[in-house]
Order: sequence, then structure tokens, then C-alpha cells
Amino acid sequence: MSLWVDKYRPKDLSKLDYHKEQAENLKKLTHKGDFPHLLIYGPSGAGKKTRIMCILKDLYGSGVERLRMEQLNFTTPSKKKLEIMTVSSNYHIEINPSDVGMYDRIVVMDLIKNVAQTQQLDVNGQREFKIIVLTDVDNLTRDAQHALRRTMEKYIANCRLILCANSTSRLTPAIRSRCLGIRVAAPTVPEICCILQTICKKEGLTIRSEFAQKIAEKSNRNLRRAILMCEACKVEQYPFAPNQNIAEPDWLMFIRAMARKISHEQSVNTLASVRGDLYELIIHGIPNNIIFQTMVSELVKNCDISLKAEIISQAALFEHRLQHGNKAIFHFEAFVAKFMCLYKRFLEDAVADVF
Amino acid sequence: MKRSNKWIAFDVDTEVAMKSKEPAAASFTNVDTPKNHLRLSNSCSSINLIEKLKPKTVDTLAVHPKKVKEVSDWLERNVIKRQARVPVLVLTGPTGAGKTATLDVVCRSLNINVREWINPVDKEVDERFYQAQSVCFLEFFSLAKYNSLCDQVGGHQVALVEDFPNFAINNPTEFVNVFERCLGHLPVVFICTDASSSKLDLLQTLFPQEMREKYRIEIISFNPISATLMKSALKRAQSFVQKKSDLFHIPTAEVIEAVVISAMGDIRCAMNQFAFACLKGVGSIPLEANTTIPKKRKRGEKTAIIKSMERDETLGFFHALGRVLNPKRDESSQLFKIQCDFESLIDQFSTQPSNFNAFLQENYLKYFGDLGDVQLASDILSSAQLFLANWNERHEIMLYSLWVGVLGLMVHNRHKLSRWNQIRGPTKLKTITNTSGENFEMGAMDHFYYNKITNSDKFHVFKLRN
Repeated sequence: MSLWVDKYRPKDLSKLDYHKEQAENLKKLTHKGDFPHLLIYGPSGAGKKTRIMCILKDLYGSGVERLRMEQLNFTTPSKKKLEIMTVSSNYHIEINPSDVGMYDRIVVMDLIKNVAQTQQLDVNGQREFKIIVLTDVDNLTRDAQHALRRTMEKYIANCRLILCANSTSRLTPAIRSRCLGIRVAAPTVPEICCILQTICKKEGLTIRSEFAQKIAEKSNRNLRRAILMCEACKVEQYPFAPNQNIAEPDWLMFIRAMARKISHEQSVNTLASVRGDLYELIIHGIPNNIIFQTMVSELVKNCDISLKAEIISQAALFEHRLQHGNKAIFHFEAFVAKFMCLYKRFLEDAVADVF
Repeated sequence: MKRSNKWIAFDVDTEVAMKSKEPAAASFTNVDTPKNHLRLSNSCSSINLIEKLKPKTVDTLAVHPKKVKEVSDWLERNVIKRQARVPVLVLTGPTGAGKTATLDVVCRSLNINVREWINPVDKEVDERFYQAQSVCFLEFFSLAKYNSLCDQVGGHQVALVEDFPNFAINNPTEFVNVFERCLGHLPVVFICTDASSSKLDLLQTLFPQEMREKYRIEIISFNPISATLMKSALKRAQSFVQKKSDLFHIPTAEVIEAVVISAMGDIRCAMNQFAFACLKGVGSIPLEANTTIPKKRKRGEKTAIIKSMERDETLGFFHALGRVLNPKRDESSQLFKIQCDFESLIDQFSTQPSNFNAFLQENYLKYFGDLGDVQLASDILSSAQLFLANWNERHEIMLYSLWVGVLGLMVHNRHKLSRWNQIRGPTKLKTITNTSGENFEMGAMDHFYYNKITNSDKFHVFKLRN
């Protein structure tokens, strides 16, 4: 069984539901001889990956749809074995280098070298280059980015890179200037509603526009999540009731509970237990910036305006550190401790005012 | 061999006497020793005694038998059978762990001649002709492969470098060049004593990791001698001394115990102290004079006497961690003064600043009694980690972030909780990646819906706790 998200993913540039003008431009780009390195960025669930697959199909034909999963092995100079999953066809390979954490530099360098040193065997192949798709490039370490910069230029004859990121802010200017940047904005709520209704129609279901609207709003303009939500609702109860509960992700509830715990009691012990929660979130792959954002917006909910301002400024400080440093837990914990102190003082002042 | 007899004639230090006994001693020294002994034994018998106390056979070594086995295995493999092409061995360990003694004794038992390089200190300088030290060093290696006329015929040879030439310490890169050129002549054994400071750590500066891999340098590291092994060594020494009770004071059992404790695993220190006790009767004098004084006091006195010769304390990783997490303040003054030698503390962690910071972060919460303190400390740790992440080009700079972290934690811990806590290692953050194959595209944030749609629990479910 395949999920609706995969089943109804547009396979061709001309079949995309929104950003039609951009799709036109992409089509023109693929038909020109000199295809540049691409940097595709935008919020998650906006359709970056869909567009990449469409571009690949436009370049190479339907051959790119025959995908195979492979596990590649790399060895670091210190003899540590790394394993990483790749998805590849005859024409392209897709990899997420940040899966191996701090060793991403080796993966990036070795992979590009390997791919670039082999020419396309297929004489009739329309293109003389192969494509390497790197996802999650905003999590690449500085080292890996420097390595990438060099290899990008060196092997441009045999391979092109398509980088996929959420934001360009963590990429070095050197990388950004070597790619053609393409921003994929998140779909608007009406666009999501429209897509949900088409999918339901194809599935033979009826969905009222108010309910579609509700899902779209709850999805935070994340199309993938909207479709998943819709399918989850269908599994839960069909026909849809207009006031049906739309389940929110468990990690969201988890962060909310954590925020409640922080506001409830400010002590060293709470901090220790919050650390445990944070570790759980990080280990299970919830991105750091999402954790931070959700946590802060939950925390400031029951603060008065002056405190709110102070907390936001502190949050900005630690978020900045988080972006520039490694080991997120240090910065999370420092922020939570700071919040606890500020909030505790605020509460004490409030009590003092009453008497 | 550049050892001249002047060395011994001038200096009656025990150190020299130990060296002169080494089997490497060339023919010159052998000829001269009787004269020396005669002279020295007239004035004082210390040299003789320490000589006599030295281990002669493998059984009498105080080193752990497994280490001895490792060394003798290496010698057998590489010196007698010559299996490796460029056999190089490095022995490391703290002072007085028996590195040299082990090599000597094992070589003697295997009938191997040791050629030792000694820095030519008192060589008469020829005005017209001056040789660079590195040239001498090279020459030593090329000449050392020839048997001495006085040695047994057909014996195997091994070169020993314990006294590193000055050029090696001043200029490690030059040492590497010379090292490459002197390989191949002979199996070489280097002895590097552990140093408390990272700058003096010869093992790190002269034999970095890539070099060890390139030349397949084997490293055997010695541990400090354990108390039981040291006690049995001292017992042997005691029985030797007892045979000649007319010459020596016999140290009491208490003195021996104090020697074992104060030596802290340094067998050379222990033997020297034992010899002094024999010659001067250190422990026995106060015992005879003040028999009425309570026992505790006597013991205190004795250790105080011996303490003046105690070794420098080196901190282990965890010990130092405890120092930082549990800072000792000067209680007497009003100022918050922390009693600690920060320099040595930082030096202790300098090899792995990042790891140490992670250890601190994992454990600091349990030692803090106040939220305000925690906030300041966590802020400091977060900045230290930021520096570590961004200033990692040079090691010296990484040390600054270590300073920030260590001082920050110690200064801000004003409401210390003193209780026993288990030290935990930093949490391993291996992000669980989806390697199952299908649903490759899906991010961790959407796993919840996958679970819901397929009504399974393939992915992790965050459980809400109250």
C-alpha cells in the first residue's frame, strides 16, 4: 500500500499544481544545453523533492523512475566504517550526507569523486553528466561545505549537483554563488484545499471544503502534512464529520507538555528532566529549529508583554548559538535555565505586588 | 657508545650508578668499574646497595608479568627472528614504572646486547672540527650494528634511545628525518617517560599517530607498579639487607609500608628511599628516641620525612573532572577564592577539550544547588561549546574555550551540593535514521501520521508523561 502522498505526487513538470510559472522556467532550463548546479530551497512540505524528481524526469526520461536503494560504505581516515543509504537510478544518486553527522565531508568528497570519475556508459543518453542530489544541505558541516565547493568546480564536466535545503542561511556564500538558487514557497491554504479535494475525488471520497480548509490551516501550509493528516482522518473516521478532530503530531504534544512542565516548576530537577525530554526529541530526528520554535511559542503563551520581550530576545541569542555551534543540547539547556530564572523572578515579583 | 669514564668519576649520583650497570656498558666502563667501586665503597656503600637491589632476573622484576611477556615477545619476534622489516618499539609509562629495567633484564635473559645512545655531554670540543648532534646520532646507529669485541660472539643487537638527543626535543621535524634515515640498521627501542605537561610529552611530539601507522611502531605502555608487587620487591630487598645486618640499618615493616605508600607506584623512588632508610636508618631513629609517643604520631612523622621525596601528583581525567564539578573554596577568607591549580587542571584536559566539555555538561547539574547558579553555568557552557565548534582550527585556541567552561563552572557553583554522584559519559546522539528502505522521503516529523495511517508502531511514539 502506498500513501496518498506518494501516490498522487506529480511526476511531470507540467502536472504540478502550483508555482506554474516556475515550472515553465524549469522546463526551459532543462532543455537548454548548459544545466547549472541547482540549489532548491524552501520550507518543508512545499514540494522541493517533487520538483527535483520532475526535473530529473525531464532531463533523462522515465528511466529515472526505476529507483533502487543501496547502502554505501565509506571509511574515514581513522578507520571508522560509515554506512549511508542512497537512492539511485542509472542517471542520478540521492543522498543525505548529514545522516553520518560529523563525517559528512568524507561522504561528500568520496561520493562525488566516484560518480564523477565514471562516464555515462549509455551512448544514446541525452546528457553527458550525471546528477547528484544532496538533501538537507543546511545541516552540512563547515568542513563538508568547503570540500563541496572544490569538488563542485573540479568535476563539473561529468556531474551536476542539486542541493536541497530548507534555508540558505547556513550555507556558505561560496556554495550559494556556485548554484542557481530556486526558492519553492509553501503552497497557500486555498491551494492546499484544492489539492486535498482533487485527491479525495480520485480516491472516490467526498470532502467538504470547510473540512479541507480546516486541515489546510492545521497543517501550517505544509502540503505533505496536510495530505497525511487527511489520510489519517480518513482512516480514523469516514465519512468525515465537519467537527472531526484532526490529530496533531505526537512530538508537538510532547514539546507542549515539556513547556508546561517548565512553566509549572522552576528547579534544577525540572531542568534535568527537561534535558531527558530534549534528548528524546533530538535522537528521534526532530529538527532543532522546530523544537526551539515550538518550545518558545508555547513558553511565552502565559507571560506578560514585558517578560515576553525579554524571553524572545534571549531565545534569539540562544537560537543564534544553536545555529552556529554544534551539540544543540548545550544551548537548549542554557535557554531553558534562562527562561526558568526569568519566569521565576516574574512570578515572585507578581506575588510581591499582591501583598 | 659515547660513554666516557669521566661521567662516573665525577658524579656519585645514584642515577649514574644505575646507568653504569646497564649491559650496554662498553668495554671502557667495564675496565674501570672495579676502581670506582673500591673508591666508592670506602666512603659510603650507597652505590653498591642500590646496585645490589636492582633486579637481575625476570622473576625479580616488580613489573607485572604480562608486561614483561609483551616486551620479551616483541624482542623475540623482532630481534631474534627479525620478522618485521623496520622494527621499532616505544615503551611509555610514568617514571619508575620499570621500563628500562624490564628491557635490560629481558635482553639479558634472551642474550641480546643493548646499545644505548647517551647524549655526549662532556665530550672535549675540538676547535677545528665540530659535528652536529644529529650526525652523531646517525653515526651511532650505523656503528651500533657491529658487535663489540668484548661482547659474546653471535649475540643479537638492539639499539636503545632513552636519553633523547636535544635536537629531537627542540625540533621534532628534524628528528623525523633522522629517524627515517637511521631505520633499518637495527631494531630500535625508544623509551618515552610520561610527562605531566603536554609540551614535554615526547610520545605525542615525536611519534604522532600517522608516523606510528607508517612505520608500524609498536607501543607498550607501562602502568605504575602496583602496591603488592612493590611490597614483594621490597621484601626481597629486605631479605638481602638482613644478610648483612652489620653494614646496614634494617628498616622496620612500618618504614617499608610508608615507602610503598609514598612512592605512588614509582619503584625507583621506592628503592632509593629504601636504600636511604638502610644507610641512615631514617625510620628507626625516631622510633628509638620516642618510644612513649602514641603510634599515630610516629607514623605521621615518618610519612612526613618521606613525603619530602614524594612524586608530583598527576591528575586522572575523572579526578580532574571532580575538581571542576566540586570546587574547593578557601573557607577562611571572605572572598570567594578557589583553591586549585588551574594551569595543571586545564593541561590535563588539553588533549580532548571537546570531550571534556561534554562530560562537564552531562554531569554539572547534580552538583548545583541553586537555579540561578545553574543558569549562569549553563550559559557559560553554551558559550564554551560555541567557541569549541567555531575555533577548532588551532588547538591553542580551543584551550581558551576550555578555560571559559572550567572557570565558569567553578566560579558560579556558589551553592554546592556535596554528595556522591556517579559520573556519566556524554549521551551518544546517534540520530536514528530511516534505513528500512521504503518511505525514504518521509521526515521524522511525519512518522506520527504514518503510524496512524498504517495503524502500526513502526516509528517511535513520543509518550506523554505527567
